[in-house]
Amino acid sequence: MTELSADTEMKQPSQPWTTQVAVSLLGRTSARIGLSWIGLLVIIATFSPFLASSHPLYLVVDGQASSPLLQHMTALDWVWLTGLPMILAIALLPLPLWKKFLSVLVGLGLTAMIAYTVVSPPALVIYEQYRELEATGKVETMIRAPIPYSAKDYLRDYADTGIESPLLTSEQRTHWMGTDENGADVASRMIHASRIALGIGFIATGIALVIGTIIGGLMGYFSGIVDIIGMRLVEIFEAIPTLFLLLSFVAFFGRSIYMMMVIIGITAWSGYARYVRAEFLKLRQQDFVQAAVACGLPLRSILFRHMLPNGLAPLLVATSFGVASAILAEATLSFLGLGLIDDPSWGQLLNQAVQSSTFNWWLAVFPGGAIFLTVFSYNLLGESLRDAVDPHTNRSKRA
Amino acid sequence: MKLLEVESLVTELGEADNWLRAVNGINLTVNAGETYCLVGESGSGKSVTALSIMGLLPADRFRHPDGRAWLHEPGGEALELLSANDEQLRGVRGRRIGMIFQEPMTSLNPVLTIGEQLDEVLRIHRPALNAKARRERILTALGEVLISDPANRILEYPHRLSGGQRQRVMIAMALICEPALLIADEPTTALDVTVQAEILKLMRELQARYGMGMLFITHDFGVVAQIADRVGVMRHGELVESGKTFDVLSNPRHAYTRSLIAALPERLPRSPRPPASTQTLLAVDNLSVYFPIRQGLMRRVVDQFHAVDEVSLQVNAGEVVALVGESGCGKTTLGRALLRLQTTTTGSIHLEGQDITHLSRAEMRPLRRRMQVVFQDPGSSLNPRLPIHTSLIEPMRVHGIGEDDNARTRRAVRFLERVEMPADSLWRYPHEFSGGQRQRLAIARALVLEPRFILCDEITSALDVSVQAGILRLLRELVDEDGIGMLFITHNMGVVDYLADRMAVMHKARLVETGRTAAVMADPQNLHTKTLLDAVPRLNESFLQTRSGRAPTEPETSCQ
Repeated sequence: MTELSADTEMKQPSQPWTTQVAVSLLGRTSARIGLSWIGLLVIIATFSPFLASSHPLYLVVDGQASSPLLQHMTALDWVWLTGLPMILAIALLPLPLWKKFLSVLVGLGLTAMIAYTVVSPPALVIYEQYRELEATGKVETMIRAPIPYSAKDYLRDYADTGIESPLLTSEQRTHWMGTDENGADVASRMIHASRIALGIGFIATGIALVIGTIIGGLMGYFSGIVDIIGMRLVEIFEAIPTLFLLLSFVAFFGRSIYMMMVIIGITAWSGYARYVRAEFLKLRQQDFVQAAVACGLPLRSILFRHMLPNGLAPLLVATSFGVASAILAEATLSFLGLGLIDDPSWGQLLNQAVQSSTFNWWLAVFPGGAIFLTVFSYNLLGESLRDAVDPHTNRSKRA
Repeated sequence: MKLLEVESLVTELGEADNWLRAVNGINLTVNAGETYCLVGESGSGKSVTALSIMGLLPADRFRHPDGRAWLHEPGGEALELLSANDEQLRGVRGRRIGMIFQEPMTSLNPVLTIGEQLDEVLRIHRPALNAKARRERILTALGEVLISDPANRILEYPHRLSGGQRQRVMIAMALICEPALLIADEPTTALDVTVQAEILKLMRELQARYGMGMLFITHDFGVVAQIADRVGVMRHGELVESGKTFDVLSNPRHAYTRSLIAALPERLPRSPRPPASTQTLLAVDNLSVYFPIRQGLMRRVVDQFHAVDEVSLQVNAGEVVALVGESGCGKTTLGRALLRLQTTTTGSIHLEGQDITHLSRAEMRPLRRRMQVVFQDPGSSLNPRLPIHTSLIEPMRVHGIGEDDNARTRRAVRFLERVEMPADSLWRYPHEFSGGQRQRLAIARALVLEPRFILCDEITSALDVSVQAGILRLLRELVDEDGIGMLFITHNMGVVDYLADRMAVMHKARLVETGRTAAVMADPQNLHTKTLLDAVPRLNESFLQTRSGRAPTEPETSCQ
């Protein structure tokens, strides 16, 4: 039966492996669904200040034109806004994958540094002022965002604010997804929370991936005593209950989203290390790796050029599931009331659904749906990636 | 008596509207007590033919646009196998047709004992027998395939048996219901020559005893010569020639058969060799490689496994030394140790007079240029993620050969021409090449560094005979023209005969005999060498003479 596979292999087009996987991935419906939702989320997260904000984009008062929205944009907003086009541009450049990766990291670091030194939005934010101006009739022109409420705009100027269902219509205000217990607009909070969902997924998984790949790679390549020590380390880290560690850190050091990312990252690497180790143990005996050693190639080249790209496939799959579980971890923490206090997060909104005596369905359906869709998308992507990189499932589909 | 009659069999594999014709109009007949050999190179459709007859092709992935396969029953009735339903086929498989597969390591279920697996076959096909009778039957069957102490063996799991013993168990399983027809798909290809000789002998004896018909699939003309009464040569799904073994082998009519027989390494034309150099390139003195056996919590070393034991060997410039031996005798470990890919326990290795035994990784790196290696498996010898260009250029860059990448590319093209590959191969990926082409590229990668010594670890054993012939010719040229020294690890005596100036025979980690190839072949001094040489199935004049008078159905008694 080997004859057949040899035949089909010869017909494959002359493309690098990454292109083949990408083409095969995009050909799958589930991957398309997953990618479209994640893409939509990225766009929403990037442009969230323009989508939902109490600050008008353009305001003319007493003949004076201004843009309060731009003035109130934070450094983080600017990093997101410049980061996305930059990543897209770098992705299109004809560079090797690791150089692209490196330039994205460097670029993001630089923009963050510049943004945090240059941008200084006013410390005191008064959301009500625009509505007051509008009410007094001083406003000549005003262009607002599609959802004219910021995530932290608790609508204090309306006396009657509190938890409101989207079905409850008020003449002055429309809240597509209702309001939360503080009176903030749920749709706006969800839009701003998408950054946290995306950020925690990517950064936490990124940290885990880097640590896991390095430790796993060294264990797999050197084996012996390095492997024994490494595996004990992996076991130690696997014994740490992530959620309880997060809870204790939150209790001791306060709430910080970055701390959560780091903690999730440094506890989740053990799985990736195991994958990489197994792949490297297998690859180490492969003839082309032995041939690379016999050619006198330096260790760096053997590890990163000859072994890592060949062992990447299971890692990619694990990564997409890892992103999903990091998002869930943050949502769980927020649900337990130990997440961020003021900053919006899906899990925190979900928490409010059961806080009061009544069941607030809109606080369960919308954030819950968003968490579900995101985790589901990453899982879909992971499943399709597994099929795309695995030659066996690939062949059974083709032949 | 006709047993199996296949008439214009066509098998297409694929799905939906994408069909590949694997077998195209095969006609063959297997008589009772006769062995019909299907021989051909990989991709010729031999296995698909056998699987079509057994109805074992993956469901919904095949179709038979034409053809019939009749299995004749003793009563004169006949079952048409291609159109038979599953129920009928299940009744036939195992009971009327037995099958043996190529890979003995995977064809037995690892979680059931030998006895349970044999018992199951009997329970299904001989429901009348009770447990005691079945046990009796199993013990006789295992005794027939010469498994020693069957009463204890039936309680053991497959991993306790060697490859040869497993294949014997497979044969016992195939024969336990005394089938009229046995289909064997390369049953000895994965085995050592000595084991292969025993298995072939056993199969011949059992066939004579039971008068079975046998459809035997192989790629090895030596095996054909040993076992076949009639032979059919397949190419691209078609039977290009068939007839009595003696007629086909001694007087092939079809050009393809002639080319296949001419491509056998022992029959390749030999060019005159340049005078041998006396400059010693690589010298190995009393080299040993022991693997520690560790046990217990602290992983204390309790014993040493001797993989290579006090081996001394020399390779001169412009000389090919063949290292032969059965699998597991340590020849690959020795090769890896020579290249310092494996740490050595004792002994020394000198490369062009320099002691390299204890050099560190970093000290070894510049010397890697002078000694290169080509591995066995064409599927894994090149990095699948890199285009050929990178695989060839990177070692040159590391060793500072060529001023810039353009110069290195030109150099790579020159070496590609040397191994008879087109220059545009540079920009393609390994999966786009066939096995033989990949081995050529692997040779090119070894050559770009202009090594003085090349280790070839069974580099042709996974290739078809005609592809192998091309590679062997190329290697011979390289050695003769560039004065490279080569250690060629192999188990194929024909290759040794063609390629090697000297040969060294390994047995159980030790070198048992060395000498000039012709001398050792003609007059082996060591017992193991003798066994090894005798076991090789050969297609030579003496065979053709002794077999010429044999009638097709006459039982075979001698084992040659």
